[in-house]
Amino acid sequence: MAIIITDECINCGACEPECPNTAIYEGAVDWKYSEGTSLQGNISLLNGSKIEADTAQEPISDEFYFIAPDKCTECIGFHEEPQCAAVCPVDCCVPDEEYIETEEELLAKQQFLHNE
Amino acid sequence: MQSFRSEIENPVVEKDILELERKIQLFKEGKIDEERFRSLRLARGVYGQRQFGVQMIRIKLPYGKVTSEQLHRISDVSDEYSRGRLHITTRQDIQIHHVSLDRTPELWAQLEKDDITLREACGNAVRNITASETAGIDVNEPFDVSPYAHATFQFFLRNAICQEMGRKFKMSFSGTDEDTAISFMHDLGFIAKSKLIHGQQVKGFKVLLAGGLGSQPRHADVIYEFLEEQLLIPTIEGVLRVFDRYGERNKRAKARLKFLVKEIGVPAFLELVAQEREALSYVTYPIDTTDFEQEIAFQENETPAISIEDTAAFEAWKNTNVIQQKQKGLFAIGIKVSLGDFYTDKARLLADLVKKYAANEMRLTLRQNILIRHVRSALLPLFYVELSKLGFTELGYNSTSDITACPGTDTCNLGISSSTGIAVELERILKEEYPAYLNNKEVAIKISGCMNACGQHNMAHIGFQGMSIKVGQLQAPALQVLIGGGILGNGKGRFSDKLVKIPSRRGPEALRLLLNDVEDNQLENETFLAYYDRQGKIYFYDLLKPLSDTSNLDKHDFIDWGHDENYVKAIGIGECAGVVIDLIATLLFESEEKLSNAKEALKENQLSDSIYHSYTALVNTAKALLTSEGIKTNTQAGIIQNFDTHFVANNTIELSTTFADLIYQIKVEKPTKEFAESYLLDATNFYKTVDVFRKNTVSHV
Repeated sequence: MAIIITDECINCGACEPECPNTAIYEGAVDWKYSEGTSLQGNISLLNGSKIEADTAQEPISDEFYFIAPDKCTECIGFHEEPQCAAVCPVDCCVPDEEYIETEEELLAKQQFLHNE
Repeated sequence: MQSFRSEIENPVVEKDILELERKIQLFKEGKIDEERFRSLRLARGVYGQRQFGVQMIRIKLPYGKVTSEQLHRISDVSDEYSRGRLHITTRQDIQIHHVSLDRTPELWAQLEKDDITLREACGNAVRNITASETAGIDVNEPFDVSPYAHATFQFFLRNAICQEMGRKFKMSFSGTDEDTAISFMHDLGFIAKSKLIHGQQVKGFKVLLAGGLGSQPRHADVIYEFLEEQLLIPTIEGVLRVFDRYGERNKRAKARLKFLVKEIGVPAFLELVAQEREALSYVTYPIDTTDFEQEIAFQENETPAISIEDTAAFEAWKNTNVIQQKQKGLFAIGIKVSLGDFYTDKARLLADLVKKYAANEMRLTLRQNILIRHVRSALLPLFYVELSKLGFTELGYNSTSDITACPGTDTCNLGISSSTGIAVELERILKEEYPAYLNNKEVAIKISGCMNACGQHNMAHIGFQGMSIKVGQLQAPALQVLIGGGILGNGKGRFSDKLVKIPSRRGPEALRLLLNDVEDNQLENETFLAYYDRQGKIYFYDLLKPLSDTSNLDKHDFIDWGHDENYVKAIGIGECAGVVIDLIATLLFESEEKLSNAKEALKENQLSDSIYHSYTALVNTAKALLTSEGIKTNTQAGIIQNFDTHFVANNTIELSTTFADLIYQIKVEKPTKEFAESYLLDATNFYKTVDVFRKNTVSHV
């Protein structure tokens, strides 16, 4: 599963620097596949869709910090537990029921993001 | 009710206080916007608090210096307008709570009778200037930093260049390389240095830029190894001008200086500072230190005969709480003030004691304590006896058991869980179970009620931060445990690692596990930090991880320290920066105010101030038009650029030059009278042009 930030978020920003994939962005900020990853140029996502890694993507939330699910690996390959959830002062980084992934899928995503 | 008016002697202060009173009235009548009013009152030390309808007042005490008369005055004010409690902050201020908004102008006028200000204690301004509490008495200092901290306070108070910055700005002065003022976590941190130049000892500072704590701590960068003292004020002015112009304004969480410097890098930032050189009000600014070099005078020269009954206790106190000064035969006495809270009855007795037998000066410390200076050695027994009567001789000044904590959920809107409650409990445990730590000046424990880190938890050896934790449908108060921070000295420091989140009730157990582990495994002569590094973060994570298990909580775990009811999460939003309201009419009205400030300053021959007011009027007017078109206005520099792109380049607004050339005259012209006059004229004409354009547009809609 990817992690999602709920509307209980108090916009403190503690999670942002913890993410090993730069998947976390402040509300209303454009995000990119290329930021914090080794993705460059035209890429095919794991679901098959094609995209330009350096193109600015629409923010997922305008009000709160958000996680780009395509870049979230639940910290697999880096840490024992999701770091955003570990540091969130109000416990609002929770598993996203809409993005349920197996550990193998998450590991594949991690390798995809970091070209390993 | 308005009897206080006639009592204020300084016309500048009087104007300030009357303006606050007038704006409170307008606010009550619904005539000014709430956000606007908030930003005004914040810049006058009036802050919201967790309890509805009352205010916290932050009393600004530069470098924590307070005289007997001032402490009496603050006590009187607390009794009259608050509840008799005085809270020392980690930035050497005093806060009082539960004050009615209506009475704040009167309160302020009272404080001014003893030269105490509220001005720019909160809000997006230059906050209190902090300094090592031992400045002026430290055996290791090259010189006393107090006069420099004082001059910095005076120079930037009410200064036009720093009245409406994107965010707050904090500065500190350390007297020695021990860096007790913690320069590496300030927007600007200064460490006293002395250097031999052409055979002369020259005073100066090591300068650090753009540090900060909060949820994203940043270690400051050294920008000068040695900056001569007469360049101190011009350097600060340059940095403030650049921060004002290029600093983020819309995204509050990214508006501190550290984010700007992180984004553009130190060399580019310094280049921008260099470009401000022509605009500075002074090229060099020598600081007069004579006021701080007077001979130390005492009121009472008799030494009363005192007999100490428990000499062992007296010696223990001398050992942990008394500091030898650089002045021969004089000592400073540290009073460990639990949580920084003390009360007016005792404050008055303390003030009297210090006036009669010391030299009428105390310093409030960064660790929320009080340091009495200039006590003659023969009078130490007297002070011990008298301070004991007040409960002010508790052992362990600046030791591990001297825990720092912000007010947290007691009074602060932002608090997530209790910081003071757990601090009291941990102090009790240290005293009862680990008495050796009463004299340990190496390891510091600091606690904050939220990630904003007013309790500086993320730079301490051992830190705790208030959190909440979900357990099914319930919420329990929690603490994040952090280890491995500290001051390394000479401008270097470490932020701590966030280890694990545990239910608050297990805070004491976490401390015990940690201290027991240290006792069992630390090598002889190994520092706490060296031990932490040797074992590594994962080792301590594994040590504490069992405490994070929430499957076995009982009902006790849902009640926070210092409470007897179940924990309820209640977090408000910060007040430090009032959200800016971008109503176009309001913005244009503000431009008029700025132009009138510029005119007034010109009349008073305050040229740099006048020029800066004209500058902000120009920016503000441009912002009004950009706002009406929904164009981004995050920084002043961005506003200037966007205005040219969207209005000047396509001749929507006709100017004789680009807007950038017009406004950036401030960078190339010296602050002369001729320039101040012509720049004000430019700003006025620009305002008129925009106003006419705006009226035409509106009438055509």
